[in-house]
Amino acid sequence: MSLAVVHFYAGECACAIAQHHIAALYQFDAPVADAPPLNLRELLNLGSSPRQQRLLKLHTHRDNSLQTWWLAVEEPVTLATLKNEQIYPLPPLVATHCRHPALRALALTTSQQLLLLFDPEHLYPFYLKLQGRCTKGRLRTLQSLTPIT
Amino acid sequence: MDATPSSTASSHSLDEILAHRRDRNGLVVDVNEPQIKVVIFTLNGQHFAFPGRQIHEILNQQTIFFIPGCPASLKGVINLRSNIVSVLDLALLVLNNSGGESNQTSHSILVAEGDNISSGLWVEQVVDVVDINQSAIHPPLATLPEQLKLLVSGEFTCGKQSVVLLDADTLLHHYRQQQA
Repeated sequence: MSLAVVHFYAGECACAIAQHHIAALYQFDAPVADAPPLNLRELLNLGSSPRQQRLLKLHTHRDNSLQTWWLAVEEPVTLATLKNEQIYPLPPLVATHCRHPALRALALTTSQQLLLLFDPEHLYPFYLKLQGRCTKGRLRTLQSLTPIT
Repeated sequence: MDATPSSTASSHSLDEILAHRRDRNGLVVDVNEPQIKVVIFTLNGQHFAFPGRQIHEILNQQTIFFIPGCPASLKGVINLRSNIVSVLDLALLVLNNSGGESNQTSHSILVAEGDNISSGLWVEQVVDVVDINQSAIHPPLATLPEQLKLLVSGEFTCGKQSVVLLDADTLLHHYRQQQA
C-alpha cells in the first residue's frame, strides 16, 4: 500500500496532501482563482517565510457535491509516494492537544524528514470561513486575519 | 595451646560450640533494604527524579520536530528509530517555566511510559541513575506548589542534594486529560 502526495512547505514545516485532491498547481499570482486562497502558513500561525508561494487548486467532496477551492502553499512543491510504513497516526498526546483538525497524520520521508499530512476535507471549512470574512468582490489579504483556531 | 585439666572445667564440648554456631547462623538477618532505581535530572537547576521503571530510554541531542497548533508544553515529536514520539517540556509542566528552546544543545529527553502511552520528556540535564533505599523516600512537603503536589510522589536526599521524586504515570495521565 502507498499514498501519492503533493509535498510542499508552510513556513519551515514540511507538509503534504493526498495527490487525488489536487486538481492543478499554479503560480501564486496567476489570474485563476475566483476567490482568495486559504493560506496554510497563516492558518497555522507560522509567521513570515522567504519561500516563494504557489497556488493549489483543490477538489473536495461535501454534501454529495464537488467543491473547488484554493490553497496557498510554499515551494518547493513536489510529488512523492509514501509507503504504508512511512505513515504514522498522531501520537496520543498530539492527537489530544493539537488544535488543527486538518492535521491527520505524520510521515517520515526516506531522508528522515517529518511530513505533516493534512486532510483537505477538514481544511475546507476554514476556506469557507475565510470567504465569509472577506469583503464581497474584493481580494483582501489574509495578513489582517487572526489565525483560525 | 594447653589442654590442662583445670581449663577443661570452664571449656565447652565441641558439640556445644557447633550447636552455638548453628544457632547464631540461624539468627543472621537480611539487612538489605528494598531499593528502587531512580533517574535523577535537573529542571532549571532544581533536582528531580523518576523511578527507573518508568523511564525506558535517555536520549541526547535528538532533533525535535515542531508541530503547529500544539500548546507550548508540547514541544513537538521525535523520530525514535522510525517511531514518532511526542515530547513534553517538563519544566513548563512542573515549574510552569519553560526549559528553553528545542535547538538548545545541552538537553536530554527521557522516554517515559505511563497511563499506557509513551512520551519523551524534555529535561535540562540527566545527573545520575542510582539505587536508593525505599525507606529514604519521604512524603512530599506540604508546602509544595499546587501544580507540583499532584505530580510528586516523594522526596529524598542524594549526596547533599534534595531530590523531588515525580510520577510519570500521573503526569502523563493528567496531561492527557487536560483540555487542549
